[in-house]
Amino acid sequence: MAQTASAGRRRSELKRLNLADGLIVGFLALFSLLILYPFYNTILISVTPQVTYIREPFMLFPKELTGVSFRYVFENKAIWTGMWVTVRVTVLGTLYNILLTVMMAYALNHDYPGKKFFVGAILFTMYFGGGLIPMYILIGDLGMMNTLSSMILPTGINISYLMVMRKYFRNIPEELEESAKIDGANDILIMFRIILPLALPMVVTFVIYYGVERWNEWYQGMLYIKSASRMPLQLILRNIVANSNTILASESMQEAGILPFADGIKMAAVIVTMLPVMILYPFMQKYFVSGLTAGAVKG
Amino acid sequence: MTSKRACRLLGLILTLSLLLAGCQAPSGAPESGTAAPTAGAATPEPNTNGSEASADALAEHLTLTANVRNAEVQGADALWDYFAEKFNVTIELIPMSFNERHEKARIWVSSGDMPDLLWMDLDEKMFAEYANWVRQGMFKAYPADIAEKYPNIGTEYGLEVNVGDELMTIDGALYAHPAIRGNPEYDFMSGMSWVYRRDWAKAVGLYKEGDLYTWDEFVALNEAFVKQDPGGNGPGKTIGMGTEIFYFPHAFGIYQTSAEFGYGSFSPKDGKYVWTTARHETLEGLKIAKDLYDRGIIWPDNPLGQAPDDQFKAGLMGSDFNNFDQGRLDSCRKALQENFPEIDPFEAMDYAFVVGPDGTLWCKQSQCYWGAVCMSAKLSDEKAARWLTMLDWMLSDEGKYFRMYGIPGKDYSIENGSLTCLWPQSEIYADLQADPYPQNVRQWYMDYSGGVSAQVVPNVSTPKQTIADANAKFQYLKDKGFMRAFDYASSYLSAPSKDASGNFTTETSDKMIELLTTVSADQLETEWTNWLASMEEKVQPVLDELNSMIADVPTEAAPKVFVP
Amino acid sequence: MTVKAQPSPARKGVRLRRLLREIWRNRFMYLLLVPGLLYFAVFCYGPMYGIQLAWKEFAANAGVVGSRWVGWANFAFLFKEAEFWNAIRNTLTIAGMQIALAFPFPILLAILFNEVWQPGLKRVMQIVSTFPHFLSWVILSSIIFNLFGNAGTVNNMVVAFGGQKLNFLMSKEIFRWLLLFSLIWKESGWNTILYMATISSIDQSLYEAATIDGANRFQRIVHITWPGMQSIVTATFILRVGMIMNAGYMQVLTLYNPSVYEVGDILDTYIYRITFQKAPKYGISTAVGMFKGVVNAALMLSAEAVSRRLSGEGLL
Repeated sequence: MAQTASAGRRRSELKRLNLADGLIVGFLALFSLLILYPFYNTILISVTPQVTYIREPFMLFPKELTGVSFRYVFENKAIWTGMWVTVRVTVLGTLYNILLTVMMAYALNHDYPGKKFFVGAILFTMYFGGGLIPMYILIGDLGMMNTLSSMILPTGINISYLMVMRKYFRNIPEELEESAKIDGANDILIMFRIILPLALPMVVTFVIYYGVERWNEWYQGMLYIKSASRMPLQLILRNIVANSNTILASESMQEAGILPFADGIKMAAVIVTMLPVMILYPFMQKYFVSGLTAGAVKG
Repeated sequence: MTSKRACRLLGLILTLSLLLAGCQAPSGAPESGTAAPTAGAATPEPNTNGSEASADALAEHLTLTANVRNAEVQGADALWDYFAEKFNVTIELIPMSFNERHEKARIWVSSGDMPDLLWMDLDEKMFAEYANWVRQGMFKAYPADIAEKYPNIGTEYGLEVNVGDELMTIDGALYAHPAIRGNPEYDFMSGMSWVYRRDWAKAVGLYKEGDLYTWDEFVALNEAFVKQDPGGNGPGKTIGMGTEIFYFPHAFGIYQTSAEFGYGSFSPKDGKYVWTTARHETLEGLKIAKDLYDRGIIWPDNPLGQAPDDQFKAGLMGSDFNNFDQGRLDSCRKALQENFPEIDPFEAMDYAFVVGPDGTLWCKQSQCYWGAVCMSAKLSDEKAARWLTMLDWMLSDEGKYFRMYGIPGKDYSIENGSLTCLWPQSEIYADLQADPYPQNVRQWYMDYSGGVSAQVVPNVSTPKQTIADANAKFQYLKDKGFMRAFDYASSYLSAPSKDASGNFTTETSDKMIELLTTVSADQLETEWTNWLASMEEKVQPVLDELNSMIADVPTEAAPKVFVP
Repeated sequence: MTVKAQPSPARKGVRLRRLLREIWRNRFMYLLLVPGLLYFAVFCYGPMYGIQLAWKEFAANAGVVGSRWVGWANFAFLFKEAEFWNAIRNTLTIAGMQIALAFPFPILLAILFNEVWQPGLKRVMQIVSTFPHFLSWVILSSIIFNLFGNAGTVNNMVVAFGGQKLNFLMSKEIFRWLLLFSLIWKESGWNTILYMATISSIDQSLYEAATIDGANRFQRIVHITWPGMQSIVTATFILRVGMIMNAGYMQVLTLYNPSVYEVGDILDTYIYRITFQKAPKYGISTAVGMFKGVVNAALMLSAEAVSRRLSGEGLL
């Protein structure tokens, strides 16, 4: 297994950890720090009152803490309905994306009449499109206006991902397929039973990429959604940010005379929307390490 | 082993997705049918009595779609139910964020999918598009006898300072209802003005009685703020003057000297329109601003477009030039009080009246309306009549009480002709009441029918001192200042070159910001003149249109020297 | 059939039969293609008729098809605008800087991550590096303003060490570098995911064998890690070059200001400004889209050709 092999290699090396190791870890640690600090600052902004933040935008330790921003986010019903919409769009949409992409990438990696034409036709759409108005009219004609499907179906395949995926399939030895064929399996079976498990790291990568794009998506919701109860999370957040000059207190906060503050709310909202992804990500990450049996893929 | 795991993963995903798809279906289906059954509905009697709509006219339940900001907080409250019941109507609110207001209106109209009632930020920049759409038949005309049929709308259109309905009239018919601003009594004067830290002025010993300053005094004051740091913010932290990015850098000398802002981009000179940017007053003002910027009196980060009010509220800024109506003044004072419990915000912060470098005191008129409502060409007569009935009522006294306070008997009462608000006591201010409804819950009424003058419905949730200060400012400027009337003729002219190039305001302020921040003071004039010359090719055709198409160019108002 | 050069009907029949047999043999491949092709047909080719707007003046009542033809007027309008050419120059410069520096950085990062011997540390650092991807440019711009503004942290440090304040955000010399480094900061970790996945598919026994043969770290990277990544890197590189007319729309829009328009205004922001500050012309924005598409496609195909000649490997 890959892990054991790699661990074995590492173990034999441990005794000769050298300067290069130190340099690499040092460089990466510095990079992580550069990332962590502004991030830490984001968290601080979400828990400090406005005046503290404006007067000292970059702080190490907050002088004063407040839960106002998070309270605003949690008391905002629209954020929760938006989150439910976004969860559905993300799960269904990512599934739709990855199935379409994997199937097409696999099929485009083989030769048969018409393939070149298909590749050309697909690449053409990467560079040329009909524009906003025809797309809007199409969504209306398909009866998708103001439905979740208007946020799911129109973005099916990211052509860059398709091409990279196809490239990756190309590196898988053909013998595997051929031997399966001799055993009587058809192409679809081969794809799902033999090729996909081998390509799991790449599939997981694109599940992550597609999933996060879906999670962050607002533009189609802005265009096609006509009722507030179906607005995706990021659209609601954008509206909060756009309205930040007239930021509003929820009812209970108004009564208590608490003034919420726009930047704090923005940051709190960012943290709330990031959390689900950050929790899921490590689970996905393990597929990068343990997905493969040694020797399955040629270098 | 791995393939098994993949299969399991796939199975899990499929089950989950089926589950979620199941949730999606019911929520997708029912709300899609929007059209109310209209079969057999007779054309309603024209209601002769405006706001007192006859029961007949309201007998049929109608559904209207309408776009609005902050839709997520509206449509589910006691006010909304009251209104819906009163007019036997369901209004389906279509959400639209403020940032995308133009984009959405364009997409809707262009793809033939506009709501029954389309609210637009129909300013002079959008006007050419509006006129175009009218001529292409996208909108339904408001009835010709609207003023007679709907007395409250008629009253509003009859106001001498309100020219909105005339502006919106295209080829003899009205296609948009302009929602007028709430201060006709001050001739729609804009709230743009300086506020400053009076306590700091006293601390540096440069305070002037009545908050009245000459230009040099005000500059010296702000320089002292930056240098002496009366707020104790630490070295390099205190900001002198700042403004909203929209007014940058005009607030710092240009607004006070040239005719720039009031007349829009084009101003009359010797009986002809000229490009205000190219007038020498503009350059003079720009030089003043450059000097202030180089001396560090202007907020150095101002061009980045962040909110100056935040700096002011945090006690970092001495003077803030912004649209300071009573709402903004109130929010700044509240924040100061919360952030600095030891100071009295009513004492520490107030308007400053600043006389310009040439000895004139300017104020500015706004357009008489903000936003306008168009009706879809596909809208039925019954629905149009229902909308007008609602609008007429919203503009009546009763409608104004409703819009500002709420439901009669619950939120306000009228006894012996005097209006009393029944809102609960405020917890912050002893003599004030608190609005029991969530904020923005009134957005639709306000955007669709306009502002309400505080003289008709008093504001009971803002401190009396703040209201008094804001009114006193308007009154003082009306009496003593010099109002730049809004020039509708040149702003709204629609002609090929002008529609194509716009009014050059953005190009102008972009260039000003660039020169202010990136060239040295002695290069300023050369660079500016070169740029003006390079723009001539585009500006001249527009000027030619203005001068040939506008019959009587207004006479240039000679600046009058301010007398306290 | 009357043309002489045509093969005889009999031979044609044979070819047709062979073709049909070939299609039938690959029937499952076509089946796999169907969903994707349907998607492209409906959502990409369905609205494609809108392309004609590049040569039209759009009128709401006439719709796309009924609007008036204006010939090449939309293109002519663009080509005589000095700002348009300035935007193109900036787009190419900024995209070029990104390809030269921001593109290789995640690759380097992935290789370095792979060299960290401690799996826990490696995971944590990799996760941390993806964090900034989740901050939108709108949010990030306020953080950057606070850091690099006149009263910002960086300037305060500069002053503390006796230096002169620098107006980072309004300086024409610095602005593009600010764009570049903030992009590297924000997206490198995220792009590393793809390369990490690629590296994880490399046969681990190769490393073992190389170590036994006495290869040092650098040799392992050059002879094992890099060749294992090369084909994916080639693909992403060609794709990036084929997007040369895109230089980060939201990033520039949120970070730039009038002082740096001259060096920071890219095609997308230029379009944004001409369409949202004046009455929009869908014809002109479609024309710009066409222009972008043609340049991008041409560059993609050139990159493909160059790559094939150099490494025998391309994207297609």
